[in-house]
Amino acid sequence: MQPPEADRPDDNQLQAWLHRSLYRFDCPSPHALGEYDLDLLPPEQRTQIAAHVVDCDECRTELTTLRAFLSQPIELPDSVFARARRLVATLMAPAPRPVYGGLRGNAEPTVRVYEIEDVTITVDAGDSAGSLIGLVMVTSSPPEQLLGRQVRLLPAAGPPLVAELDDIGNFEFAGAAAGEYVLELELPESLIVIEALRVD
Amino acid sequence: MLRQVPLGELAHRCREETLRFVRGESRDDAYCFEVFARAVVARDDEAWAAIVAQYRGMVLAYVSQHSAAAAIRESDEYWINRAFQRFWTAVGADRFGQFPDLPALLKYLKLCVHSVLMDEVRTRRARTSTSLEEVAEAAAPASNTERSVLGALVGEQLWAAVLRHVQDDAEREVAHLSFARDLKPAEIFDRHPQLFDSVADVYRIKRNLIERLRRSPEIRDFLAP
Repeated sequence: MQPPEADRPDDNQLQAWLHRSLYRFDCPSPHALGEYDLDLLPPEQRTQIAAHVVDCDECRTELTTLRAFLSQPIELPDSVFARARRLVATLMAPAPRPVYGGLRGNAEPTVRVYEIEDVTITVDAGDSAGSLIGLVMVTSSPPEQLLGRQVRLLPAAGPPLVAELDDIGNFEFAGAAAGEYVLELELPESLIVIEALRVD
Repeated sequence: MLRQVPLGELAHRCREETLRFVRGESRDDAYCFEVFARAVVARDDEAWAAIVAQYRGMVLAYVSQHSAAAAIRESDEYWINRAFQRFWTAVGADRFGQFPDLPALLKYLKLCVHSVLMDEVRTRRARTSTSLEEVAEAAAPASNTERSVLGALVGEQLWAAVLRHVQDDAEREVAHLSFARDLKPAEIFDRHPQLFDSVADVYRIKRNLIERLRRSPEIRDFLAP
C-alpha cells in the first residue's frame, strides 16, 4: 500500500536524507586509506582498497592530500623551539667547591650562585647529608609564575632526581649520592643548565 | 637493557633526545621507542601518559599543518584527544611489530591526525549538499560512531533498496554520484558524457528517480524512526 501523500517527505527532504545516509558509504574510511598507503594492511584488504581507489576520484583525492601531508617536514610551534634553547649558567660566587663541603667540617662557604641572562640560581647544601636546596630568581617574571616548574638533578648514570619550584622559587633535593651532576631548570622560554655540579 | 630502566628515566631521556632532534642534533630514538613499546604492548597507562605528554605539541603542529584544519573549528584539545585515541585504538600489541622504529610510529601518529580530520570533513559534508567551502558551516555531527554505523550498515542496505528502484545504468550513475559522491548534475555529465544527452538530461533523470523513491514504501521504511 502506498503511504499517504501527507506523510511523505518532499523532494528536497528526501534528497538531503539520501545524501546524508549514503555519502561515501562505499568508500574505505580515511584511516583505512591511510593504512593502505603505508602498506600496513593484510593482502586481501589491500587488494580491495586498491580496486576501489582505481574507480573513486574522491578516494584518490584523499590519498593525494594524505601523501602531501605525510611528506611535509614537521614544523614545530615556536614554543617548542624556545624550550629547546639550552642555556648554561655561569658560576658567579664562590669558586667551585663541593656543595656538601660544609657538612663535612669544611669552613669554606657552600653557597653557590649561578647566573645566565635574567636567571639567578642559588644552591647550597641542605640540613642533612645528600640534600641540596636552591632558590631560583627570574627578574623578568614574578616568583609565583615559577610555581611547579621542574628542576632535575641528573647523575652521570641512573635516573634523575626531580623537584618542583614552590611559589617563591625554592627547590630541594634529598637522597643524592655523591658524584657529579647536571642540574636542569625548565623555564617557558629555555632550559637552564648548571653543569658539573659536584656532590661529594 | 632498556627494559630494566624505570619509566621516569626513560621518559626523561626521551624528552632530551626529542629536544636534540628539535635542535637538529643527532639523537638516539631508543628511549622514546621503549616508552611507546610499554604503552602499546604492555598497555601501561603511565607510559601512555608519558607519550601523550611528550608528543602532544607535535600532534598540535601536525593539526595546524593539515589542509582541512582551517575549515573545521574545534579546540586544540579536541584534536589532540581524538588523534591519540585513534592511535591507542588502532595499535595494540599484535600490531606493534609493524613499526620498526620511532619514525614509523610518529608517521602513524601523523596518519591518525589526518584520519580524524578527514572523518570530520566527510561527516560534515554528508550533512549538507553544499560546496566544500560550506562544510565548515555545517552542524557538527552527533558523533562519529553514529556516522560510521550508519555508513557501514544502513548505508549498504539503503543503497541496495535504491538499486531496486533504478531502471538503467544512467539512473544508477545519477543515484550513486548524486547521493554517494555529492556531485552536481553538471559534474555527473562531465564524468559520463556517453550516458547522457545533456546536463538537463541528468537533471530530468534525477528528478524522476527522486520522485519514484519518494513514493516507495520500502524507502519510506528507512525513514521511519
